[in-house]
Amino acid sequence: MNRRKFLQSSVLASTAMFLPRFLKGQTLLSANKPLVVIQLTGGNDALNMLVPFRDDNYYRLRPTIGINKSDLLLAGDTGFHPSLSGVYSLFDEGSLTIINNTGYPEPDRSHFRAMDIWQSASGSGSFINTGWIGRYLDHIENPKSHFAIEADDTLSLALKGEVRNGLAVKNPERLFRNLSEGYFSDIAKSDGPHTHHQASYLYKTLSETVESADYIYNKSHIYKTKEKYPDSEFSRNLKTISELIISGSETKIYYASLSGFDTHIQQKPRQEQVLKTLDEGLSAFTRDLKSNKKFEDVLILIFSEFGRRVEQNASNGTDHGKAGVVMLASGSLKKKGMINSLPDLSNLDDGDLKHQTDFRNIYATILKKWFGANPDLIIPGFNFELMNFI
Amino acid sequence: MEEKDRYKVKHLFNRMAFGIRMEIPEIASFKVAKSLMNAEKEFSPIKVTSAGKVQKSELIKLTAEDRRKLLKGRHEELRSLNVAWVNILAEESSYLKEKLAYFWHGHFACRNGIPLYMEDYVNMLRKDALSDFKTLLTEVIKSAAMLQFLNNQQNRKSHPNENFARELLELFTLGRGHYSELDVKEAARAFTGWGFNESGEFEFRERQHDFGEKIFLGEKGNFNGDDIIRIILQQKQCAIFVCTKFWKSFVSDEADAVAIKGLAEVYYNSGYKTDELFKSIMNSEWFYEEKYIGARIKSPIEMIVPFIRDFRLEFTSDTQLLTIQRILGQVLLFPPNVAGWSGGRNWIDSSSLVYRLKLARILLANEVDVIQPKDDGDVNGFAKMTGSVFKQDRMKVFSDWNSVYRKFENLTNPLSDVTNHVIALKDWTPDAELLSKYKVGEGSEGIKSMILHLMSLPEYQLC
Repeated sequence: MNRRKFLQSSVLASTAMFLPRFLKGQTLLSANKPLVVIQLTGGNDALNMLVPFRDDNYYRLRPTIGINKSDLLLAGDTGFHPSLSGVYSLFDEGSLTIINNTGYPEPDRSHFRAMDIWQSASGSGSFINTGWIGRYLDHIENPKSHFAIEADDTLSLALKGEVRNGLAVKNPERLFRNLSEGYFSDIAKSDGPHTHHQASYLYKTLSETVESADYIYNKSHIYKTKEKYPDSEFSRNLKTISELIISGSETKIYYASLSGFDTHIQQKPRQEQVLKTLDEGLSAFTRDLKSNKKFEDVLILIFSEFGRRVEQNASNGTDHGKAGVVMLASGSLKKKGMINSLPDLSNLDDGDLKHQTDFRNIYATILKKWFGANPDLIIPGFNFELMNFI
Repeated sequence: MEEKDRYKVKHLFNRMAFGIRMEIPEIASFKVAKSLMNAEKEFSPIKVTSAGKVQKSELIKLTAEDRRKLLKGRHEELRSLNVAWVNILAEESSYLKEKLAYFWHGHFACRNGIPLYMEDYVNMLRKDALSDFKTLLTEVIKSAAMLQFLNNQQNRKSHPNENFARELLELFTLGRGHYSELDVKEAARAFTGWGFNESGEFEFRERQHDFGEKIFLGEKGNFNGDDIIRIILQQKQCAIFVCTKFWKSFVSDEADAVAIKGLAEVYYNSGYKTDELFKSIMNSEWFYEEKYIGARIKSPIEMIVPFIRDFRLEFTSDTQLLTIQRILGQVLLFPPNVAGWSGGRNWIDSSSLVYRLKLARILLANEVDVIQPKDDGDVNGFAKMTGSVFKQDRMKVFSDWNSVYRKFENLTNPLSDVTNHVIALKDWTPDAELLSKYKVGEGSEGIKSMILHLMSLPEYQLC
């Protein structure tokens, strides 16, 4: 650190010391612009989410599960699923980017492998035992585990790095009670003779966890939302995330999942339900961010491990397919709306949508343009092309 | 018995089996090494599954409801197979063979929805865990479970599928960087026609096999699959690759290229005889060096098995055992991908570590913990079948402490004895202040709280 930098930071530090905790968060951390990743687990059927209603192939291949034009929320050549009124208004106001036909070469139809590929950002031919968010943590200076938070009990591969891992927190208060009082804090504080390198690694991990749990708990106190969130686990998780964002947590990436997209049987009612859960949660979340003037500082990424087959199956459902749709929501998108063409149903890959955009280009764009990170270090061996949605 | 030899015995059990039982036998280490290798032991296969695959033509005839039932039945059988295997690991835990079978499952990582195929595969690993590498490799890659998992049923002369050949080279034998793309293509051609029949037996389909000339790793000939295996095993790199895996599972989380090369030399020169390699490791001096004591982080299965064995755990349902595996990140029969579990520090993140530290209290003292494992997305999937929420009433586990008390109650200094059993590290003593806080009561109560305390420490994660 040179002298000038030192002075700047010490001025900042000493000013901060005299600020009440509430303001500290507001002023010092206002530059923090987090990413919120929403994972749709099970393989979201992109084609019934955004319906190419002008394409006769769609109704021909989906005679009973296709959605009638009159039920859709229309936007040009596409129609949003009737459950997605909130997403539709985000689209309408210019806060949504849709990237159709997203996938990767030689796609895998198995849930676990496809999710592995999306979370690790490997191609289908290689195996990486860390996740893209974890590797981002590896490459920032002095990262803390709460820099990447997953709203769940256990941590996904996506948030595991080579040397750093994110933190799984479903309920900040419960985690805090669990860790910061009693046994765990005693062990974490104990300066016993753990000179053994593996043991000291575990002690270090534990005390960092306790520290982060502490930090998150204190942050979660600052702002309690007035927004009414629906009563679903997904929404509760988004609420936790929103409170941390608005409280000014220094967290860079949040991660939440919604399951139930594996619609092999009786897709219509199931998809209606799960998309409604997504839409209601997302609507409350974005309303909350907007009323706190945070929507410009937040980028939301929504993905699923694969799309589904174009033709419906014999059980009024759809089976595992290939390319799918990725959506981004934010108050500061550069390129909005549908940024590429709708799937071409007359040009399929063995009955599946062909991928046009490699999902790793979306990751690389976010890493580079949103976080100023170097994608080459985080997604090694991939020649990325930057996109222009941000 | 000398103190030094007692440490050797403990280390042997920690590495070549699933940890030391609650009593360290007063047997010389060389005898222990011999008994771990016991080859005389009769092999008894696991048999819990029923039917094989339902043919596609029959599957199409099924109603949606019957199909769902079929899948449900398969998942139940896979669950039974998982539980049966974990119990075998606990019962037969003093045999290197069973520990190695578990190791090979991570090496030849495989998932398959047909319980019968998985059962055959598991029994194969158990039966030939100590056989030479060629025998085991050939058997495993000819198994229905693996052929199907790696799509070799689709590998035909007219349309080769490279997946099988690629994983064979990359993950089972040589590792990245030791073969070319052309080698993958040529090997794939040699494996065309390898398939299996309805009952899961290997079948060579002559009409789909490419009998033409291939060039593989510099050799030219009209190779078939067995030739490819022969040529692979001629490469010293194969011994280095497999020995690196052995090293990480049996010696240390940190690789030591020079030492591994030494092991590979022994393995290669013996003709890939796994039993001879392990004999030489156990009879060596270096294996017992202090730097290797406690140098590994236990895998979830290495954590769970000793609890079941030493405290005769009885779960109220199979689901519990599966849920614990899911939370800890290792479900037998369900490796994350064909590369297997990464192991070492990859087991550890904030939530898994906290759960590991709680595990003894959850399993042995019925401490309540509400934690939900992840949904794998599959609507008919295993996760759905294993139950999602870890509710209080579901987590009742019965543990038997009496035999443990009996071992320790009459000792004059139970602390050092208990510590010696529970903690792998050498010359380690617990923090006195913490111990006095968490050891409550006298007699058996004191022993119980002391054991629980030691098993809840980060040091207990090491072996």
